[in-house]
Amino acid sequence: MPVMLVRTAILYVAVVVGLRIMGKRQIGDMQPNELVITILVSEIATIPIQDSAQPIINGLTAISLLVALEVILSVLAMKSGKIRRLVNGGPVIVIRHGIIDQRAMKDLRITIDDLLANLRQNQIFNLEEVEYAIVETNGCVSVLLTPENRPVTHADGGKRPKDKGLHTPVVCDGKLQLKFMEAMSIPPERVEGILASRKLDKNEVFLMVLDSMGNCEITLKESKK
Amino acid sequence: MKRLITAGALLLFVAVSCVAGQIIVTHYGDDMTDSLNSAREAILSQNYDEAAKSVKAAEDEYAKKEWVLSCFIDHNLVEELGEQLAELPSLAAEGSEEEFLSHLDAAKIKIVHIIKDNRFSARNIF
Repeated sequence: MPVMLVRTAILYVAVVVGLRIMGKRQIGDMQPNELVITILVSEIATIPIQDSAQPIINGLTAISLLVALEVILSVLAMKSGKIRRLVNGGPVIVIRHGIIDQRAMKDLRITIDDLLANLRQNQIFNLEEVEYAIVETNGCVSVLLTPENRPVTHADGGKRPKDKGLHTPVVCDGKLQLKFMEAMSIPPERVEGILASRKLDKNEVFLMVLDSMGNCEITLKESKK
Repeated sequence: MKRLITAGALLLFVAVSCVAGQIIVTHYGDDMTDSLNSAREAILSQNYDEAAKSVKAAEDEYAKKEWVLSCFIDHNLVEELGEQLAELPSLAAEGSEEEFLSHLDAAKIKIVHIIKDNRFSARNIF
């Protein structure tokens, strides 16, 4: 039993590290080959876990090879358009000016039901509202509405709203978020100055958020309220 | 670039573990086969003490190498071979030549199989 636990822990670390090396992506954003590799890696990891007679190095070697090949392929695809198209394919327009391109749909083997379901997920229930619909390489459908159906924006009214910038969490659970602060060029002294002006210690703060206008929101820890 | 370096390191790990596995298994297998061959010759020349000594040495050697072999070979195979080798010294001491030879040949066949299964070959790939 302890042997199985140690083997499982080793493979868990290997899978987590492997997926981390492959990069951050959510399931829905993955290219088909990335999804397959992710599933393969987890499947391979289960073999030495289930069968304790299998040398663990077999699993580790296979996982390492898959991750390495995936990383190399993704780097090659990033550098070369040809390889990118070969591996990931390209986006395909399936609706032009409200008219469905049946040939493109046949090539993609997408049924009208799939397309309509995708449009409904984009809050579109009438094909005439669609200027363009494009099937992306990860299978998602991007939609551009006709000008009369696009939502009104501030730009349409010729207005420019005040930009409050990014709200940056500078203190979380009593700890300064130095990485975020550095990225947003917020010096720690400024945060400490704001806290001092409110007679607060950072250990009393549950969450402190700063925006680029200098506005600050502070939520205290429950025990300190 | 960092990811590419990591991928290179992973490929290096893969290459090292594959090459090391093949070399170790082949080398250890050949050593075991040599020891078993000398035991075979001894028993054929009715030298039972010498045969018992040879197989005991092979068994001791195998016990030392078992851990390393387990890193690359199915643990069940490693254990089965160990059990087969453990039976040989008593058979040699008893002087039961036929039984000794059949056990010895079975152990040799197992070693050959292990080496073959671990070899980089078209048969193993496909």
